[in-house]
Amino acid sequence: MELSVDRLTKQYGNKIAVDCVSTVLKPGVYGLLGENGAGKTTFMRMLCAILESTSGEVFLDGREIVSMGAEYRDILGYLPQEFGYYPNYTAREFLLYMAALKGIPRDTAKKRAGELLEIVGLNDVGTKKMKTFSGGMKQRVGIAQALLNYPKLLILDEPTAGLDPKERVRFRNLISDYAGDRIVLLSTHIVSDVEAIADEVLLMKKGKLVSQGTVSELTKEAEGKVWELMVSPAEAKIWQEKTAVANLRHEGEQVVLRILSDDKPTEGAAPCEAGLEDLYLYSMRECLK
Amino acid sequence: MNGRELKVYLRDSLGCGEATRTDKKAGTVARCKEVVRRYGDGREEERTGFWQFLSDVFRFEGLSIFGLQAGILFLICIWLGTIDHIIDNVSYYIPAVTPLFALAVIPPLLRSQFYRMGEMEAVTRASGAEILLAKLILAGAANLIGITAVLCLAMYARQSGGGLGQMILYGLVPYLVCMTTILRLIRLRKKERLPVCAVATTGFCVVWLISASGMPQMYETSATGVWILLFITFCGFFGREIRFMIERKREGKGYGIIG
Repeated sequence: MELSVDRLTKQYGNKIAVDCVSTVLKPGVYGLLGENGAGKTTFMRMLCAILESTSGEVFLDGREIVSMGAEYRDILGYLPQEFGYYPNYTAREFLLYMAALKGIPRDTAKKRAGELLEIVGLNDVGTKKMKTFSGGMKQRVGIAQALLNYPKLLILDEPTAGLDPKERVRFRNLISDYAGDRIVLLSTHIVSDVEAIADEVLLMKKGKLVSQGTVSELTKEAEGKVWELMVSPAEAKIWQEKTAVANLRHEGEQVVLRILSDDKPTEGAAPCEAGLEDLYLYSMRECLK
Repeated sequence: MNGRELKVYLRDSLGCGEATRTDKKAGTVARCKEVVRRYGDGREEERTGFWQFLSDVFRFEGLSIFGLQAGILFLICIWLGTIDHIIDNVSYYIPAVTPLFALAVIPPLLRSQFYRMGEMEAVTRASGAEILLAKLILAGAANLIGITAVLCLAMYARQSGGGLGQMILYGLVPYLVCMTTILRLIRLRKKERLPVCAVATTGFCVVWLISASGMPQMYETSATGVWILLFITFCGFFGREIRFMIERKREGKGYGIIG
Protein backbone atom coordinates (compact mmCIF):
# COMPACT_ATOMS: atom_id res chain seq x y z
CA MET A 1 0.00 0.00 0.00
CA GLU A 2 1.27 3.42 -0.92
CA LEU A 3 -0.24 6.85 -0.37
CA SER A 4 1.22 9.39 -2.76
CA VAL A 5 0.68 13.07 -2.24
CA ASP A 6 1.31 15.08 -5.36
CA ARG A 7 1.82 18.83 -5.04
CA LEU A 8 -1.08 19.21 -2.66
CA THR A 9 -2.04 22.84 -2.08
CA LYS A 10 -4.78 24.55 -0.16
CA GLN A 11 -5.35 28.26 -0.37
CA TYR A 12 -7.84 30.36 1.59
CA GLY A 13 -8.02 33.71 -0.15
CA ASN A 14 -4.50 35.13 -0.02
CA LYS A 15 -3.34 32.71 2.67
CA ILE A 16 -1.69 29.46 1.59
CA ALA A 17 -2.40 26.88 4.28
CA VAL A 18 -0.67 23.97 2.52
CA ASP A 19 1.89 24.80 -0.10
CA CYS A 20 2.67 22.24 -2.78
CA VAL A 21 3.32 19.29 -0.47
CA SER A 22 4.55 16.12 -2.14
CA THR A 23 5.43 12.93 -0.32
CA VAL A 24 4.96 9.18 -0.41
CA LEU A 25 3.75 7.29 2.63
CA LYS A 26 4.33 3.54 2.83
CA PRO A 27 3.31 1.25 5.71
CA GLY A 28 4.70 2.54 8.98
CA VAL A 29 4.14 5.21 11.58
CA TYR A 30 4.64 8.80 10.46
CA GLY A 31 4.84 11.70 12.86
CA LEU A 32 3.78 15.09 11.58
CA LEU A 33 5.44 17.93 13.41
CA GLY A 34 4.96 21.63 13.02
CA GLU A 35 4.03 24.73 14.95
CA ASN A 36 0.44 25.96 15.26
CA GLY A 37 -0.79 27.15 11.88
CA ALA A 38 1.84 25.17 9.97
CA GLY A 39 -0.91 23.46 7.97
CA LYS A 40 -0.90 20.05 9.63
CA THR A 41 -4.65 19.82 10.18
CA THR A 42 -5.46 21.15 6.71
CA PHE A 43 -3.05 18.61 5.22
CA MET A 44 -4.64 15.77 7.19
CA ARG A 45 -8.16 16.82 6.26
CA MET A 46 -7.20 16.76 2.59
CA LEU A 47 -5.73 13.28 3.06
CA CYS A 48 -9.10 12.26 4.48
CA ALA A 49 -10.86 13.74 1.41
CA ILE A 50 -13.13 15.91 3.54
CA LEU A 51 -11.47 19.09 2.35
CA GLU A 52 -11.06 19.83 -1.32
CA SER A 53 -7.58 20.84 -2.32
CA THR A 54 -6.98 23.98 -4.35
CA SER A 55 -4.59 21.97 -6.50
CA GLY A 56 -2.70 18.71 -6.35
CA GLU A 57 -3.94 15.19 -5.74
CA VAL A 58 -3.63 12.26 -3.38
CA PHE A 59 -3.38 8.72 -4.73
CA LEU A 60 -3.76 5.43 -2.93
CA ASP A 61 -1.99 2.73 -4.89
CA GLY A 62 -2.31 4.87 -7.98
CA ARG A 63 -6.01 5.66 -7.57
CA GLU A 64 -7.18 9.18 -6.81
CA ILE A 65 -8.75 9.12 -3.33
CA VAL A 66 -11.74 11.41 -3.99
CA SER A 67 -12.85 9.23 -6.90
CA MET A 68 -12.52 6.12 -4.69
CA GLY A 69 -15.32 7.47 -2.48
CA ALA A 70 -16.71 4.91 -0.02
CA GLU A 71 -14.00 2.41 -0.95
CA TYR A 72 -11.39 4.85 0.38
CA ARG A 73 -13.34 5.74 3.51
CA ASP A 74 -13.74 2.02 4.18
CA ILE A 75 -10.03 1.68 4.87
CA LEU A 76 -9.68 5.04 6.59
CA GLY A 77 -9.69 5.80 10.30
CA TYR A 78 -9.61 9.43 11.38
CA LEU A 79 -9.47 11.28 14.65
CA PRO A 80 -10.02 15.02 14.18
CA GLN A 81 -8.18 17.53 16.34
CA GLU A 82 -11.39 18.86 17.80
CA PHE A 83 -14.36 16.61 17.75
CA GLY A 84 -17.75 16.63 19.33
CA TYR A 85 -19.91 13.84 20.63
CA TYR A 86 -23.54 13.20 21.33
CA PRO A 87 -23.70 13.87 25.08
CA ASN A 88 -26.51 11.42 25.77
CA TYR A 89 -24.72 8.47 24.22
CA THR A 90 -22.73 6.15 26.40
CA ALA A 91 -19.21 5.32 25.21
CA ARG A 92 -20.46 1.94 23.96
CA GLU A 93 -23.45 3.49 22.14
CA PHE A 94 -21.18 6.07 20.58
CA LEU A 95 -18.90 3.34 19.23
CA LEU A 96 -21.90 1.34 17.98
CA TYR A 97 -23.24 4.45 16.25
CA MET A 98 -19.90 5.12 14.57
CA ALA A 99 -19.69 1.43 13.62
CA ALA A 100 -23.11 1.69 11.96
CA LEU A 101 -21.89 4.66 9.91
CA LYS A 102 -18.80 2.67 8.97
CA GLY A 103 -21.06 -0.11 7.70
CA ILE A 104 -19.95 -2.68 10.27
CA PRO A 105 -22.61 -5.33 10.94
CA ARG A 106 -24.20 -5.17 14.41
CA ASP A 107 -22.75 -8.38 15.83
CA THR A 108 -19.23 -7.51 14.71
CA ALA A 109 -19.70 -3.95 15.97
CA LYS A 110 -20.75 -5.09 19.45
CA LYS A 111 -17.75 -7.39 19.73
CA ARG A 112 -15.35 -4.79 18.41
CA ALA A 113 -16.71 -1.98 20.58
CA GLY A 114 -16.09 -4.16 23.64
CA GLU A 115 -12.57 -5.01 22.50
CA LEU A 116 -11.67 -1.39 21.80
CA LEU A 117 -13.10 -0.12 25.08
CA GLU A 118 -10.89 -2.68 26.77
CA ILE A 119 -7.86 -1.58 24.74
CA VAL A 120 -8.32 2.11 25.55
CA GLY A 121 -9.01 1.32 29.20
CA LEU A 122 -12.65 2.39 29.29
CA ASN A 123 -14.36 -0.96 29.66
CA ASP A 124 -15.57 -0.20 33.18
CA VAL A 125 -17.18 3.09 32.12
CA GLY A 126 -18.54 1.89 28.77
CA THR A 127 -22.14 2.25 29.95
CA LYS A 128 -21.67 5.77 31.30
CA LYS A 129 -22.78 8.78 29.30
CA MET A 130 -20.04 10.61 27.48
CA LYS A 131 -21.06 13.97 28.95
CA THR A 132 -19.69 12.75 32.28
CA PHE A 133 -16.27 11.94 30.78
CA SER A 134 -13.08 13.94 31.25
CA GLY A 135 -11.22 15.33 28.24
CA GLY A 136 -8.75 12.45 28.24
CA MET A 137 -11.52 9.85 28.37
CA LYS A 138 -13.31 11.48 25.42
CA GLN A 139 -10.02 11.48 23.54
CA ARG A 140 -9.67 7.74 24.19
CA VAL A 141 -13.19 7.14 22.86
CA GLY A 142 -12.15 9.17 19.80
CA ILE A 143 -9.11 6.94 19.30
CA ALA A 144 -11.31 3.83 19.68
CA GLN A 145 -13.78 5.01 17.03
CA ALA A 146 -10.94 5.63 14.60
CA LEU A 147 -9.87 1.99 14.99
CA LEU A 148 -13.36 0.47 14.66
CA ASN A 149 -12.96 -0.61 11.05
CA TYR A 150 -9.33 -1.74 11.50
CA PRO A 151 -8.27 0.94 9.03
CA LYS A 152 -5.33 0.40 6.74
CA LEU A 153 -4.79 4.14 6.77
CA LEU A 154 -5.06 5.75 10.18
CA ILE A 155 -4.87 9.53 10.48
CA LEU A 156 -4.77 10.98 13.98
CA ASP A 157 -4.72 14.70 14.59
CA GLU A 158 -3.23 15.47 18.01
CA PRO A 159 -4.22 12.08 19.46
CA THR A 160 -2.26 12.48 22.68
CA ALA A 161 -3.75 15.89 23.55
CA GLY A 162 -5.34 15.63 26.97
CA LEU A 163 -3.93 12.20 27.78
CA ASP A 164 -1.98 11.75 31.00
CA PRO A 165 1.55 10.23 30.79
CA LYS A 166 0.29 6.71 31.56
CA GLU A 167 -2.32 6.93 28.83
CA ARG A 168 0.21 8.37 26.40
CA VAL A 169 2.42 5.35 26.93
CA ARG A 170 -0.57 3.04 26.46
CA PHE A 171 -1.46 4.90 23.26
CA ARG A 172 2.10 4.70 21.95
CA ASN A 173 2.19 0.96 22.55
CA LEU A 174 -1.21 0.55 20.92
CA ILE A 175 -0.13 2.39 17.78
CA SER A 176 3.19 0.54 17.58
CA ASP A 177 1.36 -2.80 17.83
CA TYR A 178 -1.32 -1.71 15.43
CA ALA A 179 0.84 -0.25 12.67
CA GLY A 180 2.28 -3.44 11.11
CA ASP A 181 1.67 -3.10 7.40
CA ARG A 182 -0.66 -0.14 7.80
CA ILE A 183 -0.02 3.55 7.33
CA VAL A 184 -0.39 5.58 10.51
CA LEU A 185 0.00 9.35 10.34
CA LEU A 186 -0.21 11.30 13.55
CA SER A 187 0.36 14.92 14.33
CA THR A 188 1.41 16.13 17.72
CA HIS A 189 3.31 18.84 19.53
CA ILE A 190 4.79 16.29 21.90
CA VAL A 191 8.09 15.50 20.20
CA SER A 192 8.84 12.62 22.57
CA ASP A 193 5.72 10.78 21.33
CA VAL A 194 6.91 11.05 17.75
CA GLU A 195 10.44 10.11 18.76
CA ALA A 196 9.14 6.99 20.53
CA ILE A 197 6.91 5.52 17.85
CA ALA A 198 7.40 7.19 14.49
CA ASP A 199 9.35 5.39 11.79
CA GLU A 200 9.52 8.63 9.86
CA VAL A 201 8.96 12.25 10.72
CA LEU A 202 7.45 14.91 8.47
CA LEU A 203 8.25 18.45 9.49
CA MET A 204 5.92 21.20 8.28
CA LYS A 205 6.53 24.89 8.41
CA LYS A 206 4.30 27.62 7.00
CA GLY A 207 2.40 25.12 4.88
CA LYS A 208 5.53 23.54 3.39
CA LEU A 209 7.02 20.16 4.06
CA VAL A 210 10.54 21.15 5.08
CA SER A 211 11.97 17.79 6.16
CA GLN A 212 11.14 14.13 5.98
CA GLY A 213 13.15 11.22 7.26
CA THR A 214 13.74 8.82 10.10
CA VAL A 215 14.38 10.20 13.57
CA SER A 216 18.09 9.41 13.30
CA GLU A 217 18.34 10.99 9.83
CA LEU A 218 16.67 14.14 11.04
CA THR A 219 18.64 14.42 14.26
CA LYS A 220 21.78 14.23 12.14
CA GLU A 221 20.62 17.46 10.50
CA ALA A 222 20.74 19.12 13.91
CA GLU A 223 24.14 17.77 14.83
CA GLY A 224 26.73 20.48 15.41
CA LYS A 225 23.98 23.01 15.95
CA VAL A 226 23.26 22.35 19.61
CA TRP A 227 25.43 23.94 22.29
CA GLU A 228 25.46 24.16 26.03
CA LEU A 229 26.64 27.25 27.81
CA MET A 230 26.89 28.01 31.50
CA VAL A 231 26.25 31.68 32.31
CA SER A 232 25.02 33.90 35.10
CA PRO A 233 21.25 34.64 35.35
CA ALA A 234 21.83 38.19 34.06
CA GLU A 235 23.74 36.93 31.03
CA ALA A 236 21.09 34.26 30.42
CA LYS A 237 18.53 36.98 29.72
CA ILE A 238 20.83 38.57 27.13
CA TRP A 239 21.47 35.21 25.45
CA GLN A 240 17.73 34.53 25.30
CA GLU A 241 17.22 37.77 23.43
CA LYS A 242 19.97 37.31 20.88
CA THR A 243 19.90 33.54 20.19
CA ALA A 244 17.50 30.61 20.07
CA VAL A 245 17.54 29.00 23.51
CA ALA A 246 15.90 25.58 23.50
CA ASN A 247 16.22 24.94 27.20
CA LEU A 248 17.30 26.64 30.37
CA ARG A 249 18.13 25.02 33.69
CA HIS A 250 19.58 26.26 36.94
CA GLU A 251 22.69 24.67 38.40
CA GLY A 252 23.47 26.35 41.69
CA GLU A 253 24.01 30.05 41.05
CA GLN A 254 24.57 29.50 37.35
CA VAL A 255 22.23 28.88 34.43
CA VAL A 256 22.86 26.25 31.75
CA LEU A 257 21.51 27.26 28.36
CA ARG A 258 20.87 24.90 25.47
CA ILE A 259 21.49 27.06 22.44
CA LEU A 260 20.59 26.29 18.84
CA SER A 261 23.04 27.90 16.49
CA ASP A 262 24.81 27.11 13.21
CA ASP A 263 28.09 28.35 14.62
CA LYS A 264 29.64 28.10 18.02
CA PRO A 265 27.94 30.96 19.85
CA THR A 266 30.92 31.75 22.10
CA GLU A 267 34.21 30.27 23.22
CA GLY A 268 32.74 28.78 26.40
CA ALA A 269 29.95 26.89 24.61
CA ALA A 270 30.27 23.12 24.41
CA PRO A 271 28.72 21.03 21.63
CA CYS A 272 26.16 18.48 22.77
CA GLU A 273 24.16 15.60 21.33
CA ALA A 274 21.15 16.66 19.27
CA GLY A 275 17.67 15.16 19.59
CA LEU A 276 14.54 15.40 17.47
CA GLU A 277 13.26 18.19 19.67
CA ASP A 278 16.40 20.16 18.89
CA LEU A 279 15.81 19.79 15.17
CA TYR A 280 12.16 20.76 15.61
CA LEU A 281 13.09 23.83 17.62
CA TYR A 282 15.98 24.61 15.28
CA SER A 283 13.60 24.75 12.33
CA MET A 284 11.33 27.05 14.36
CA ARG A 285 14.22 28.97 15.87
CA GLU A 286 13.01 32.42 14.83
CA CYS A 287 10.04 31.86 17.17
CA LEU A 288 12.40 31.21 20.08
CA LYS A 289 14.18 34.52 19.88
CA MET B 1 -1.26 -22.95 2.92
CA ASN B 2 -4.17 -25.13 3.99
CA GLY B 3 -4.78 -26.53 7.48
CA ARG B 4 -3.27 -29.92 6.72
CA GLU B 5 -0.08 -28.41 5.31
CA LEU B 6 0.17 -26.10 8.32
CA LYS B 7 -0.17 -29.03 10.73
CA VAL B 8 2.56 -30.95 8.89
CA TYR B 9 4.76 -27.89 8.90
CA LEU B 10 4.23 -27.30 12.63
CA ARG B 11 4.84 -30.99 13.44
CA ASP B 12 8.02 -31.03 11.39
CA SER B 13 9.25 -27.79 12.85
CA LEU B 14 8.36 -28.15 16.48
CA GLY B 15 8.20 -31.82 17.12
CA CYS B 16 11.67 -32.93 15.97
CA GLY B 17 13.13 -35.26 18.50
CA GLU B 18 12.75 -34.87 22.23
CA ALA B 19 13.32 -31.18 22.61
CA THR B 20 11.90 -28.29 20.67
CA ARG B 21 14.49 -26.70 18.44
CA THR B 22 14.70 -23.03 19.31
CA ASP B 23 15.86 -21.89 15.87
CA LYS B 24 13.06 -23.80 14.15
CA LYS B 25 10.52 -22.46 16.62
CA ALA B 26 11.49 -18.85 15.92
CA GLY B 27 11.22 -19.48 12.20
CA THR B 28 7.82 -21.09 12.62
CA VAL B 29 6.51 -18.24 14.76
CA ALA B 30 7.63 -15.79 12.09
CA ARG B 31 6.03 -17.89 9.36
CA CYS B 32 2.75 -18.20 11.32
CA LYS B 33 2.70 -14.45 11.90
CA GLU B 34 3.15 -13.93 8.18
CA VAL B 35 0.29 -16.34 7.38
CA VAL B 36 -2.05 -14.66 9.90
CA ARG B 37 -1.10 -11.22 8.63
CA ARG B 38 -1.62 -12.19 5.00
CA TYR B 39 -4.89 -14.03 5.49
CA GLY B 40 -6.20 -11.66 8.12
CA ASP B 41 -5.71 -8.53 6.04
CA GLY B 42 -6.60 -10.05 2.73
CA ARG B 43 -10.09 -10.98 3.88
CA GLU B 44 -12.67 -8.48 2.72
CA GLU B 45 -14.68 -7.45 5.74
CA GLU B 46 -18.42 -7.56 5.36
CA ARG B 47 -20.20 -4.21 5.14
CA THR B 48 -23.88 -3.46 5.62
CA GLY B 49 -26.11 -2.36 2.74
CA PHE B 50 -28.29 0.74 2.63
CA TRP B 51 -31.39 -0.85 4.20
CA GLN B 52 -29.41 -2.23 7.11
CA PHE B 53 -27.86 1.20 7.44
CA LEU B 54 -31.32 2.78 7.41
CA SER B 55 -32.38 0.41 10.16
CA ASP B 56 -29.29 1.40 12.19
CA VAL B 57 -30.04 5.09 11.71
CA PHE B 58 -33.61 4.41 12.86
CA ARG B 59 -32.24 2.67 15.95
CA PHE B 60 -30.15 5.70 16.90
CA GLU B 61 -32.17 8.62 15.50
CA GLY B 62 -35.70 7.21 15.16
CA LEU B 63 -36.86 8.24 18.60
CA SER B 64 -35.81 11.87 18.17
CA ILE B 65 -37.22 12.10 14.63
CA PHE B 66 -40.61 10.55 15.43
CA GLY B 67 -40.74 12.10 18.91
CA LEU B 68 -40.37 15.61 17.52
CA GLN B 69 -43.03 14.97 14.88
CA ALA B 70 -45.40 13.63 17.56
CA GLY B 71 -44.70 16.71 19.68
CA ILE B 72 -45.47 19.02 16.74
CA LEU B 73 -48.66 17.10 15.97
CA PHE B 74 -49.74 17.45 19.59
CA LEU B 75 -49.10 21.22 19.57
CA ILE B 76 -50.96 21.62 16.27
CA CYS B 77 -53.98 19.79 17.68
CA ILE B 78 -53.99 22.01 20.77
CA TRP B 79 -53.63 25.17 18.69
CA LEU B 80 -56.37 24.22 16.22
CA GLY B 81 -58.61 23.36 19.16
CA THR B 82 -58.38 26.93 20.48
CA ILE B 83 -59.52 28.55 17.19
CA ASP B 84 -63.15 29.69 16.97
CA HIS B 85 -65.22 28.30 14.09
CA ILE B 86 -62.42 25.92 13.18
CA ILE B 87 -64.94 23.63 11.48
CA ASP B 88 -65.62 26.27 8.79
CA ASN B 89 -62.01 27.41 8.34
CA VAL B 90 -59.94 24.31 8.90
CA SER B 91 -58.75 24.19 5.25
CA TYR B 92 -57.22 27.66 5.62
CA TYR B 93 -55.09 26.59 8.55
CA ILE B 94 -53.67 23.43 7.02
CA PRO B 95 -51.05 25.27 4.91
CA ALA B 96 -49.94 27.14 8.03
CA VAL B 97 -49.35 24.00 10.09
CA THR B 98 -47.67 21.58 7.64
CA PRO B 99 -44.41 23.63 7.48
CA LEU B 100 -44.13 22.98 11.22
CA PHE B 101 -43.52 19.32 10.41
CA ALA B 102 -40.65 20.40 8.15
CA LEU B 103 -39.39 22.63 10.97
CA ALA B 104 -39.22 19.61 13.27
CA VAL B 105 -37.00 17.84 10.72
CA ILE B 106 -34.22 20.42 11.08
CA PRO B 107 -32.79 19.33 14.50
CA PRO B 108 -32.20 15.68 13.53
CA LEU B 109 -30.87 16.64 10.09
CA LEU B 110 -28.40 19.13 11.49
CA ARG B 111 -27.63 17.37 14.75
CA SER B 112 -24.11 16.38 13.71
CA GLN B 113 -23.22 20.00 13.01
CA PHE B 114 -24.69 21.19 16.28
CA TYR B 115 -22.61 18.65 18.21
CA ARG B 116 -19.53 19.11 15.97
CA MET B 117 -19.67 15.52 14.76
CA GLY B 118 -19.80 16.44 11.06
CA GLU B 119 -16.12 15.90 10.35
CA MET B 120 -15.99 12.54 12.09
CA GLU B 121 -19.15 11.33 10.35
CA ALA B 122 -18.01 12.60 6.95
CA VAL B 123 -15.03 10.23 6.87
CA THR B 124 -17.15 7.15 7.54
CA ARG B 125 -18.31 4.85 4.76
CA ALA B 126 -21.77 6.42 4.91
CA SER B 127 -20.48 10.00 4.43
CA GLY B 128 -22.71 13.05 4.67
CA ALA B 129 -25.00 12.23 1.73
CA GLU B 130 -26.00 8.76 2.87
CA ILE B 131 -26.58 9.84 6.46
CA LEU B 132 -28.70 12.78 5.35
CA LEU B 133 -30.65 10.62 2.92
CA ALA B 134 -31.38 8.02 5.59
CA LYS B 135 -32.52 10.69 8.05
CA LEU B 136 -34.63 12.29 5.33
CA ILE B 137 -36.38 8.99 4.55
CA LEU B 138 -37.22 8.51 8.23
CA ALA B 139 -38.25 12.14 8.65
CA GLY B 140 -40.32 11.96 5.46
CA ALA B 141 -42.15 8.91 6.79
CA ALA B 142 -42.78 10.70 10.09
CA ASN B 143 -43.94 13.81 8.20
CA LEU B 144 -46.38 11.78 6.13
CA ILE B 145 -47.86 10.26 9.27
CA GLY B 146 -48.15 13.72 10.85
CA ILE B 147 -49.71 15.37 7.79
CA THR B 148 -52.10 12.45 7.32
CA ALA B 149 -53.13 12.74 10.97
CA VAL B 150 -53.82 16.47 10.54
CA LEU B 151 -55.90 15.79 7.41
CA CYS B 152 -57.84 13.06 9.23
CA LEU B 153 -58.53 15.45 12.09
CA ALA B 154 -59.70 18.08 9.60
CA MET B 155 -62.05 15.56 7.99
CA TYR B 156 -63.30 14.56 11.41
CA ALA B 157 -63.86 18.20 12.42
CA ARG B 158 -65.82 18.88 9.27
CA GLN B 159 -67.69 15.60 9.57
CA SER B 160 -67.24 15.30 5.80
CA GLY B 161 -64.76 13.86 3.33
CA GLY B 162 -65.49 16.55 0.72
CA GLY B 163 -62.59 18.65 -0.53
CA LEU B 164 -59.99 16.11 0.63
CA GLY B 165 -58.01 16.47 -2.59
CA GLN B 166 -57.77 20.23 -2.13
CA MET B 167 -56.75 19.88 1.50
CA ILE B 168 -53.98 17.46 0.51
CA LEU B 169 -52.69 20.13 -1.88
CA TYR B 170 -53.00 22.84 0.82
CA GLY B 171 -50.93 20.66 3.11
CA LEU B 172 -48.29 19.35 0.72
CA VAL B 173 -47.43 22.52 -1.24
CA PRO B 174 -46.19 24.53 1.79
CA TYR B 175 -44.46 21.43 3.12
CA LEU B 176 -42.60 20.90 -0.17
CA VAL B 177 -41.64 24.59 -0.31
CA CYS B 178 -40.11 24.32 3.17
CA MET B 179 -38.33 21.02 2.61
CA THR B 180 -36.85 22.20 -0.69
CA THR B 181 -35.61 25.38 1.00
CA ILE B 182 -34.05 23.41 3.86
CA LEU B 183 -32.29 20.94 1.54
CA ARG B 184 -31.06 23.72 -0.69
CA LEU B 185 -29.66 25.65 2.26
CA ILE B 186 -27.87 22.55 3.51
CA ARG B 187 -26.52 21.74 0.04
CA LEU B 188 -25.16 25.23 -0.41
CA ARG B 189 -22.86 24.58 2.55
CA LYS B 190 -23.75 27.79 4.29
CA LYS B 191 -23.06 26.91 7.86
CA GLU B 192 -24.26 30.27 9.04
CA ARG B 193 -27.60 29.59 7.42
CA LEU B 194 -28.61 26.81 9.77
CA PRO B 195 -30.70 29.19 11.88
CA VAL B 196 -31.94 30.65 8.61
CA CYS B 197 -33.56 27.28 7.86
CA ALA B 198 -35.59 27.58 11.04
CA VAL B 199 -36.44 31.25 10.46
CA ALA B 200 -37.41 30.62 6.82
CA THR B 201 -39.68 27.72 7.76
CA THR B 202 -41.36 29.69 10.53
CA GLY B 203 -41.72 32.56 8.08
CA PHE B 204 -43.50 30.28 5.61
CA CYS B 205 -46.01 29.32 8.34
CA VAL B 206 -46.79 33.00 8.94
CA VAL B 207 -47.07 33.74 5.22
CA TRP B 208 -49.54 30.91 4.68
CA LEU B 209 -51.45 31.97 7.78
CA ILE B 210 -51.75 35.55 6.47
CA SER B 211 -52.77 34.22 3.08
CA ALA B 212 -55.65 32.38 4.75
CA SER B 213 -57.19 35.64 5.96
CA GLY B 214 -55.84 37.99 3.25
CA MET B 215 -56.46 35.87 0.18
CA PRO B 216 -59.38 33.52 0.91
CA GLN B 217 -59.96 33.23 -2.83
CA MET B 218 -56.82 31.05 -2.92
CA TYR B 219 -58.78 28.42 -1.04
CA GLU B 220 -61.74 28.28 -3.35
CA THR B 221 -62.46 25.51 -5.82
CA SER B 222 -61.60 27.81 -8.74
CA ALA B 223 -58.02 28.08 -7.46
CA THR B 224 -57.37 24.34 -7.51
CA GLY B 225 -55.47 24.67 -10.80
CA VAL B 226 -53.01 27.09 -9.18
CA TRP B 227 -52.44 24.68 -6.32
CA ILE B 228 -51.85 21.78 -8.70
CA LEU B 229 -49.38 23.90 -10.64
CA LEU B 230 -47.57 24.85 -7.42
CA PHE B 231 -47.57 21.23 -6.33
CA ILE B 232 -46.01 20.03 -9.59
CA THR B 233 -43.44 22.83 -9.58
CA PHE B 234 -42.28 22.21 -6.03
CA CYS B 235 -42.35 18.45 -6.50
CA GLY B 236 -39.88 19.08 -9.32
CA PHE B 237 -37.61 21.24 -7.14
CA PHE B 238 -37.79 18.79 -4.25
CA GLY B 239 -37.11 15.86 -6.58
CA ARG B 240 -34.07 17.68 -7.96
CA GLU B 241 -32.59 18.11 -4.48
CA ILE B 242 -33.20 14.43 -3.68
CA ARG B 243 -31.70 13.35 -7.03
CA PHE B 244 -28.62 15.43 -6.33
CA MET B 245 -28.28 13.81 -2.91
CA ILE B 246 -28.66 10.30 -4.37
CA GLU B 247 -26.03 11.08 -7.00
CA ARG B 248 -23.62 12.23 -4.29
CA LYS B 249 -24.36 9.04 -2.34
CA ARG B 250 -23.71 6.87 -5.41
CA GLU B 251 -20.45 8.68 -6.07
CA GLY B 252 -19.61 8.17 -2.39
CA LYS B 253 -19.02 11.87 -1.89
CA GLY B 254 -19.82 14.13 1.01
CA TYR B 255 -22.76 16.50 1.10
CA GLY B 256 -23.50 19.81 2.70
CA ILE B 257 -21.33 21.69 5.15
CA ILE B 258 -18.22 19.60 4.68
CA GLY B 259 -17.52 18.71 1.11
